[in-house]
Amino acid sequence: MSAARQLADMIMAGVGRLIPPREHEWAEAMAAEQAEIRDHRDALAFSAGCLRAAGWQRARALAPDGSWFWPGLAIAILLLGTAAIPRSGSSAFVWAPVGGLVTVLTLENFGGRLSFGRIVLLAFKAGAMSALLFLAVALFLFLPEGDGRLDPDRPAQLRGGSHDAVHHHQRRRSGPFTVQSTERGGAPTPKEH
Amino acid sequence: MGRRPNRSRQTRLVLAALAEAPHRWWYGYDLARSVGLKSGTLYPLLIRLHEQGLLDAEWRSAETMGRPPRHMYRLTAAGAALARDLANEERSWSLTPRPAG
Repeated sequence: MSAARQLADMIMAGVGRLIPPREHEWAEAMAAEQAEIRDHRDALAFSAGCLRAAGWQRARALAPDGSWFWPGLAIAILLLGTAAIPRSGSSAFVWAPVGGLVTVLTLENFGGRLSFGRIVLLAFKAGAMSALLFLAVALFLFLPEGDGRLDPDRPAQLRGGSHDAVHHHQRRRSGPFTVQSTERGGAPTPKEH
Repeated sequence: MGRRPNRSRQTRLVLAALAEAPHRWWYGYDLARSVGLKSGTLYPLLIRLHEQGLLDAEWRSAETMGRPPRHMYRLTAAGAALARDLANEERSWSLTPRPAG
């Protein structure tokens, strides 16, 4: 049995687990169809599509009347991320859904046309792209404002000294000035850039 | 305003294909290939149509010995009526004169 067929069978087993129990008959229907497909790569693409369908049905089952569909999908992603945490830490909330979706879509769209090695390469590239995207978003969200240089006028206590003189240091920008203030340092001193 | 049910392009394609031969039973894979939809799009659609009573589904023993039985589909009377309505709707759109310009 080829690797593509083995993977397709593994995916179909996943479909059986993912689909809501009341729709299990449909998972059996999908598995029966997959078994009839002679071309292994077509079978792999078909299985990946079935996995997407099963995920979709699971999300719908969380929101039977439709109004909770997107919250339901968010909960499903959250659960998927939580399940992956022991293996990959808290970033699993991002990686598990993104990686899963990228892999399924890659297999579904290219599984029937490309060689198995090429599929793996594409999935790897897609994973690398999403990693870069994640990094860019993280940098944008978490990098501190400003150029990061040390302010020469900054109190020495905040450059590694003791904290007894100044308990709190605030820095805020107001037009062309930087306003520095200390908790007991009296009025803020405007300083031109 | 909510979306009207069963008006998507994919649903129209499936209903039109099934309505071409209303008494014919279709396999899922054959139907997917015939209408050019991926299984990930087709099956949620079939499940929804079945839930709405527009699609009949039945297990039939496989043609090849040793294979599991296969699920087959065809339109119910209500499904066929909906397919006709949609076809008429599309025909009236195509006959409606468009403003020149």
